[in-house]
Amino acid sequence: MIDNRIIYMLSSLLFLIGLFGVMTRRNIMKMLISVSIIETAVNIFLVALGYIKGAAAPILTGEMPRAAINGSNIADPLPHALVLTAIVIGVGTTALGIAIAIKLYAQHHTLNINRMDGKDEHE
Amino acid sequence: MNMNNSILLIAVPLALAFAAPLFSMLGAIFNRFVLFAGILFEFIFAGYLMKRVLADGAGIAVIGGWKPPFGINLQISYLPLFFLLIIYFVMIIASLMFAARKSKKDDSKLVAAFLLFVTGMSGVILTGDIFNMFVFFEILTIATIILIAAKGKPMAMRGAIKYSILSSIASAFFLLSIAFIYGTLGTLNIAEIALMFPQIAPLTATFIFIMFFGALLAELEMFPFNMWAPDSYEGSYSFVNVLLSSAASLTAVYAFIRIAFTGMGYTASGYIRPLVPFDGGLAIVFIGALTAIIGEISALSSRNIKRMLAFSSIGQMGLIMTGVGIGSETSIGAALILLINLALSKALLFLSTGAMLKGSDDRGREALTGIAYRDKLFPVLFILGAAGTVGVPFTLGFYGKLFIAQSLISAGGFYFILLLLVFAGAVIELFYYFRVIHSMYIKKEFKRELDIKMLYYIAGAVLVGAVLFFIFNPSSAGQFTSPAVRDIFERAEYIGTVLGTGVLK
Repeated sequence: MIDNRIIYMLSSLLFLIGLFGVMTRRNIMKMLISVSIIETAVNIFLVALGYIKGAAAPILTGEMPRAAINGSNIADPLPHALVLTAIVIGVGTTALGIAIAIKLYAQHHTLNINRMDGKDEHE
Repeated sequence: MNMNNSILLIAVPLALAFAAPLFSMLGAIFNRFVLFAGILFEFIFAGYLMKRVLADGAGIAVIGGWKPPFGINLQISYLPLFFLLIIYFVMIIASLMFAARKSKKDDSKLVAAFLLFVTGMSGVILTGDIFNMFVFFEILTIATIILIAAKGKPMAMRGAIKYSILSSIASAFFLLSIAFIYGTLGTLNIAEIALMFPQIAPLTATFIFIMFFGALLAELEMFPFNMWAPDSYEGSYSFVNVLLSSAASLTAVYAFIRIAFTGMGYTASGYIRPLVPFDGGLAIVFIGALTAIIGEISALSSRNIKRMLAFSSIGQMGLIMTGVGIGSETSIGAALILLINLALSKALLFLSTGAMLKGSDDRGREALTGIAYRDKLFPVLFILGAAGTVGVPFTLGFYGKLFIAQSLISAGGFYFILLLLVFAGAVIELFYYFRVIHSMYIKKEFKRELDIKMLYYIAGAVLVGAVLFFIFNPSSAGQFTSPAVRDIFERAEYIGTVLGTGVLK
C-alpha cells in the first residue's frame, strides 16, 4: 500500500509546485529557487526508481562477500550515481543564475523582472 | 571498429579550457592562438575521422574499457561527423572574430568559456549514452550563459537570466524523460534503447517523447520558448551570435534527431506517431511553422538590426523543425540542407554586421545608411548572407525551401496549409532584408570611421568561398546530406555498430 509509487506521486507534486512558482513569481530569486525545487523533485524521482523492497543500500561493506555481489540484496546503485551528477549540475546552474541576478540588481535596483525593461535601448 | 582516439575531440578542448588562464600569463596573444589552434585541430581531426569512416565504415570508441551497453561509448559515423564538420567550420569563423577584438583583461575566461562550449557541443554529438548527452548538454548550457553574459550590459544580463531559467527547466524535463527511460527499460545506452523501445507501453512512450521534445524546445528556439533569443543575441558579442545561431541550434537539432529518430523510432509512418488522439508529428510541424511565421513577423517589426537577425534565425529554425517533424527522407534531407544554409548564411550576416557596427552603439535599422560608399566589401557579404537565408535561386536556401515545400505537399492534407505559412515567411524575409540592403546603398554621408581588422576579411573570404562552392556546385549539397539521411533511417546499422548485433527486435 505504502510503497514506491507514493514517492513518485510526491515528487510529481513537488515538480508541479516548482513549475507553478516559476510561472507565477516575478522576483528573480523566487524563480531561481522554484527552478531548484523542480530539480530536487526530479532527483527524488530518480532515486526512488532504484528502490527494491527489503534491499540494503548499495554500499560495499566488509561483511558483504565479494564473490556474491550478484546475489546480495542491494538496491540499484546507478540512479544514485545519476542523481549525484544531476545535483552537482543543478548547483552549478543555480550559482550562475544567482551571480547574474546580483549583477542585474546592481544595474536595475530591482529584482522584479517586470520592471527591468527599458534600461538599455531596445526595439 | 576501434576508434578510441576520437575521445580527443572532447578531451582536447576541455584540457585547453582549463589551461587557458595559464596560457594567458604568457601574453595576450596566446589566448587567441590557443583558441584558434584548438578549434583548427578539432576540425582537422574530425576531417580525418570522416575519411576513416568513409573508407572503413562506422565505429565506436569504448570509454574506460567497459563495453556497451554496460559502459559509455561514443558513436562515430557519418551523421555526427557531418554535424561536427559544419559546426567546427563555423567555430573557426567565430574564433577569428574573437581574435580580432581588442585584448581585454578577462579574455582568458572568455576563451575558457568558448572552449567549454566546444567541449559540450562535441560531447552531445559524439556520445552514445543518453545521460552522457544530458551532462554535455548542461556543460553547453553553462558555457552559453557565460558567453551571453560576457558583455556585462543590462541587455546581455537580461538575455542570460532568461536563457538560464528556461534552460534549467528544460534540463529538468530532459532528466525526467531519462528517468522514465531508465525506469522502464533499465538502460541508458541509445542503441539498446533503440532495440528495446517498442516494448514500452504506448502511453508511457508518448509521455517520454513529449517530455523529451519539450526539453529541447527552448534550445531549438521554438515558440513560445524562444523569448530568450532576441535579448541574448542583441546583448552579446558578435562572435557569440555566430555561435548561438550556427552552433548551438545545430547541436539541439542533432540531439533531437538522434534520440527521436534512432532511439525512439520516430518516422513519417513510424511507431510513435499514432499514439495520441491527434497525429503527434503534426504537433511538431505545427510548432515549427508557427515559429517560422511569428519569427518572420517579429523580425519585420524590429527596430534593431541584431534583434532582426535573431528573429530571422528563429524563423529559419522553425522551418528546419518543420522538415524534421514531417519525418520523411525528403524532408529530413531538406532540413539538413537548410541547416548548412543556416550555419553559413547566419555566420556571414553576423560577421558583416559585427564588422560594420563595431565601435558604435547605434544598432537601429538606419544605422547602416550609406555605408556602401565607405566600405565596398562587407555590404556584399551581407547581401550574400541575406540571399542565402531568403532562398534566392541556386543558393542552398533555395534548394532547402524547395524540398521542404515538396515534402509538405506530398504529406498531404492539413500540411498543405502550412505550406502557405512557409512561403509567406519567405516573402516577409525578403522584405526586411531588402529594407536594410536598400538603406546601405542610399547616397548619404556615412559619418563614422570604419575600422575593420584583417581577420574579419580573412573570415569573410573563407565564408564566401564556402557559399560560392555550394552555389556553383548544386548537387554537392545533396551528395553531402544523403549519407546523413541514410544514417538517420538505418537504425539497425546504428545498433549493429554499437552492440554488435544487427537484429531489431
